[in-house]
Amino acid sequence: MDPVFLNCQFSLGAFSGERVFEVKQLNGETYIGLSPLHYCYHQEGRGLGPTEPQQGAPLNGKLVARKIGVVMEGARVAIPDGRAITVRLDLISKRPLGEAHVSV
Amino acid sequence: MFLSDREMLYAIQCGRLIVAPPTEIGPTSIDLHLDKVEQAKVWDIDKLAQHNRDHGHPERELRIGQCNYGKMSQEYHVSPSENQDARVFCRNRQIIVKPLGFVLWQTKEVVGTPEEDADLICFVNGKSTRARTGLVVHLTAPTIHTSWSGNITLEMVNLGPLDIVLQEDDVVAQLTVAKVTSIPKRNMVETGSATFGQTGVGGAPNANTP
Repeated sequence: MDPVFLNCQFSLGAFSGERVFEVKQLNGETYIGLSPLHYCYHQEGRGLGPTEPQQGAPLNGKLVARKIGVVMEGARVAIPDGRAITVRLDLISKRPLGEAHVSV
Repeated sequence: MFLSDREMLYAIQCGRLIVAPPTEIGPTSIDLHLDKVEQAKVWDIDKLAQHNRDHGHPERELRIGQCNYGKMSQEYHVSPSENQDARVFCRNRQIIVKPLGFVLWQTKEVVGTPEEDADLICFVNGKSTRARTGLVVHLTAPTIHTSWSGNITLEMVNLGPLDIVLQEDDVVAQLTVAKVTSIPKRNMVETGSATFGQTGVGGAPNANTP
C-alpha cells in the first residue's frame, strides 16, 4: 500500500490528542472520522499543532493515509480510524514515509 | 510472545515501539497515566436527548450501528461539570466517579508502533490493584494493532461501592507488548476491515443519528 496524504477538513475532537476529519467520498457522502493528532497535517506539509485548529474554525489539511488501490475513478484508501474509504483521485497526493512517526 | 522489560526498552530505542513521553517500564508492562483533568470527558446526555427528541427518537437511545463516532465525540463528549449530583463530577482538579459512573480519559502517553514494518502489537490492560476498588478500565477493544499510534482513550466505569477519585498522572492502566509472527500484509483493508492499526470506530454518517 502506498503512503499518501488525503485532503480533508480538520476540526477539534473531544480529546487533545485527536482531531475530527471530514472527507468527501467518491459517492458524494462526507465521511467523518477521528485521527490521532500526529497523522494530521497542514496543506503545506507541517503537522498540526496542539492548539490547531481553533474551536469553531475548521481548516483544510492533509491526513496520513495509505492507498490500497484504484477503483473506477477513485482511490481506495486506508485511514487512521481503522476504515477504508473510496475518494476521488485528486484528493490524494504522494507522501514520503516517515513523516507520520512520533519521535521517541 | 510477550516482550520483557529489556526487549521493550530495546524496541523503544530502535523505534519499533512508540512510548512518548517515556514512562515506567515494569518486568512485562509499561504503566499508562491519566492525562490532564481537561482530558476527562463524559457524555452530554441532555444534548443527546434533545437531538433524539428533535428527530423523533426515544431520548436515551443510541443507534450503535448507524451512529458516526467521530461526529458524536465532537458533539456529545464534554468535561464533567461540578454538579455533585452527577455520577461523574469535577472537584478541585479531581474527577469523582460514583458507583456506575462512566468516564472517558485520554492517556498522557502516545503509544503504539510505527507505520512501516511494524512487528509488534500492544494491549491495554487495567491494573489489578485498581480493579479491586471496582474501577474497570478500558472495557473492550484493548488491542492496539500494528502500525497505529496515538493517545489511548480509556473507558472507565466504577463498579465498586465507593466514590473513586481520579486525577492527572494516576496510573490506572498498563501496556503489554507482543511480537507478531510476521509483518502483516494488511490485505484486510480490501474488505473495509480494521486497518492502520486500530479497531475501527467510524460508521456510516447519517444526518438523523448522532
